[in-house]
Amino acid sequence: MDIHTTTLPRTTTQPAVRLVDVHKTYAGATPVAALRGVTLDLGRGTVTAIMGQSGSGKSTLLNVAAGLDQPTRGRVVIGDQDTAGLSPDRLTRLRREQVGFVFQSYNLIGHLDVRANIELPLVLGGRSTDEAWLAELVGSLGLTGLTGRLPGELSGGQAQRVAIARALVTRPTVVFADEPTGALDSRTGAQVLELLRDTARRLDQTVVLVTHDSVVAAAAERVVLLADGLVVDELLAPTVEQVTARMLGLGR
Amino acid sequence: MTGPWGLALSGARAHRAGLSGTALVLAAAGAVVSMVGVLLESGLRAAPGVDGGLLTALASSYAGTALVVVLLVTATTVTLALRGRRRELALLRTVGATRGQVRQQVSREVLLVAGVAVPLGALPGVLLARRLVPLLVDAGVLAPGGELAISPLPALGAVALLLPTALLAGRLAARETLRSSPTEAVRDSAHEAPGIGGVRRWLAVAGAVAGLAAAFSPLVVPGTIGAASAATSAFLLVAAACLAGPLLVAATFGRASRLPGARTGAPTRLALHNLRGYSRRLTTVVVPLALALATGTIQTSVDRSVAEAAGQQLTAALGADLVVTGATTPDRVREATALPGLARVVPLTDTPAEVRTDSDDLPDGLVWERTSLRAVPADVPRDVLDPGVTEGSLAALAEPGTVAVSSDAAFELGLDLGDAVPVRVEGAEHRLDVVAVYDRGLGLGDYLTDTSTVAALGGAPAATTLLVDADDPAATGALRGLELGVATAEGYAASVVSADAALQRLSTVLLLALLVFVGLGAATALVLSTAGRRAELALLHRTGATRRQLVRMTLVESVLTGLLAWVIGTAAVVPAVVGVSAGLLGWHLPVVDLPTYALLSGAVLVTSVAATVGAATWAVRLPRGRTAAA
Ligand SMILES: Nc1ncnc2c1ncn2[C@@H]1O[C@H](COP(=O)(O)OP(=O)(O)OP(=O)(O)O)[C@@H](O)[C@H]1O
Ligand SMILES: [Mg+2]
Repeated sequence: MDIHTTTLPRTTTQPAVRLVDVHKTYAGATPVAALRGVTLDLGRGTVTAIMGQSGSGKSTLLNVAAGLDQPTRGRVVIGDQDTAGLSPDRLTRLRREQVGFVFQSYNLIGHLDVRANIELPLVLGGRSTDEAWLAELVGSLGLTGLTGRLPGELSGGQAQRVAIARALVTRPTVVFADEPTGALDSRTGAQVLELLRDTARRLDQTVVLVTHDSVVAAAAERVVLLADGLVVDELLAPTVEQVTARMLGLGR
Repeated sequence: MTGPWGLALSGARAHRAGLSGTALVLAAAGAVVSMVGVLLESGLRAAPGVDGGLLTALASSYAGTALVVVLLVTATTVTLALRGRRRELALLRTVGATRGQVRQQVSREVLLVAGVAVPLGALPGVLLARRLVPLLVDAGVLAPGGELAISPLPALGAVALLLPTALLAGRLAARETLRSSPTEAVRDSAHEAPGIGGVRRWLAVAGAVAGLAAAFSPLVVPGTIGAASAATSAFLLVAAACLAGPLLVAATFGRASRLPGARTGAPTRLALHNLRGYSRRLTTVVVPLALALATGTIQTSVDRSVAEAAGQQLTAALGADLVVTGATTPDRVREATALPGLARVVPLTDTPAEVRTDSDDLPDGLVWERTSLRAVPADVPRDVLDPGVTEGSLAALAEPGTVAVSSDAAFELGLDLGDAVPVRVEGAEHRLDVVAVYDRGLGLGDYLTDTSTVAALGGAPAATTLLVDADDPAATGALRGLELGVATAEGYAASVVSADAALQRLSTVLLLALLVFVGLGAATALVLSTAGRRAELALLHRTGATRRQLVRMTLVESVLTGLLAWVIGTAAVVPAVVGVSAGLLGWHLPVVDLPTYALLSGAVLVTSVAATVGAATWAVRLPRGRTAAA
């Protein structure tokens, strides 16, 4: 599959998400500096892969960029909205309207069936479900026939696909995905990725995904490498080999 | 499934096991409150055949304790039920629920459960009150054939009281999840933050200070009022202990769990880690247990102290050789007085009356307190009857329209020498001037007048007690021959103190009802928190813990939980017991109802162990539960 040729036009206009000198330190007995000054623009309609070793701060970066967590220092701008001065509820609404998030740990509600889990952001936003869009998501994510099941009755990969459907159902302008293909075999993983890129193109979405998989990363137009809470490298239109090489380089 | 109500319904359905426990406790709370409500309403309405004043007094003194206990247990249960939902609420926030939506979801679920359970419980509560009728008749509160007022008001009262309490508890429980950012909330829900917030810390300190102040209020406030306020200190101290709970737990078990476990087995070490790690959960289950111990002990000990103080005062006040009772009519009195061999006879006549305790414009039952005027000859010698006058003099009672009041009553009504007391005798109101204040009110009653004053008020004497000095031993026999009760002063004091056996039985039954409720709350709390640990137990099981080890672990936890509850309950009661005793009996060895205390201590341990181990055995027996894909 020749993935890296399908690049999207990079927009030069205002980025979808902008991080300026973002620091995040987890308080505790021994404070952990998970991000130590990250500056990053995520252009509209682009697909960006974040890579780095375990513990390098990828999930933290995603949480902060999506407005799920507050940075300790620095600015996060989503669309044209600086998140710094927002009340928690304004921030929640901004997230609900503009951001889709696929969690590393799925975060499905155990007592709601698959359909209800997918619809949840719409219900919370007081919006009605676009049945056609829902059917399309369910179909292309291979969830047909599973909509009546509870999360506890799904395999790990199925649960992950439900989480992806839930992130996309609101047609957000930015989608963050924390290892969205982590629990999937390479074939299903490739399909899911295809769907993410497809939707992104159709809806002019910005996609940011964390991955450990060089093949997945190479499908993005841009790879950002993180080490110890800092951006240490960046690749544009990378090949699988380049990505693998850089990752090996980080390990040294 | 659409809309927030759908979410609430689905949540309630999914957690029906936990919620049914909550519903049970809420229903029981509804029952207790509506039972108290029926008694109170009947007292205030004072229908024919109902001694309104006495019933109101009885119901309102019980209501105080009952409401504190019911509200605390209700709040605890709701908090605990929602604790198991923290992860779910946190997840909702990551998906885009605003804090308002989470709060609403919690409120809706609480409303669903409480709105059904409380009214359902209120009905049996009314039936429960009707079961008390025979006891009320025995205690003289109801005339035989008298009926309690039955109306929807008590049930409405229960709803009006418990719904807001449950909602508030739900809000406070949700607050933990709402305070932090969504991702933090998801992480936090997996474990418990150690330590407590600043507000909680200050509330704990305030509770402890208020509790200690209340415990030692008898130093400032005399008699039964001081004793009653001292008794409230137990609740304040239990509340303070629970607020500070996580810190106390860390202090108690923190070191123990770090001990090198060379000789302690795995279950014990796990148990200690659990108690320390889940100090909030532990605190919540400890509340009802400690409360049961504190309530039962303090209530019975206060009763004991009052009885003991009354006996002591009577013995000290009575100087006569013999006390003769049973002379119910003036003729019988004359007959007895005429017997040969009696050196001196002093009659004490009791006349039912009511005293206005409050000048506010409230229902009769609340402002007029039933009591009796005790007529003594103004010139009664000190060596026959000594009320312990502290101000004024008994001799002044010779003046018509005067009264001597006990120091308790003087304090309660704010009376001084020269003030007028509004009194109602046979339906007619009068004002009596205070000419003396005396100390021994518990033994002698709160109001003494001269015989002529009572006669002028047109009162109908109910009973006459004769204080007799006999120089001829045969006189005792002669009095007995008249079928009168004859006793020494000490014997009489003892019999007066235990004479109210029927009233005692009534208050025991009421206390028992309350303890049953608290026991139910405690058991529910334990079962809820243990059942909520199925995932944790399953994980330990998968990691290699045998079922035996798991059950042993929960056994150790439950014993330690019971002990902690026992220590907190006991510590909370000690200042109150000391204060009550000091207020009523002076500073000496405090009076404690030891049998009750021992019984409740045992019950606390047994409840803790039985409910926890039972639920744990169930939890580890069942096939591994569906765990939410998370
Ligand atoms: N809540 C927390 N409290 C304290 N430290 C944390 C917390 N969450 C993450 N960390 C620390 O912050 C650093 C970055 O964590 P993060 O989860 O962002 O890593 P990651 O790159 O996503 O790793 P992985 O690939 O394993 O998911 C790590 O050292 C981690 O231990
Ligand atoms: Mg991660």
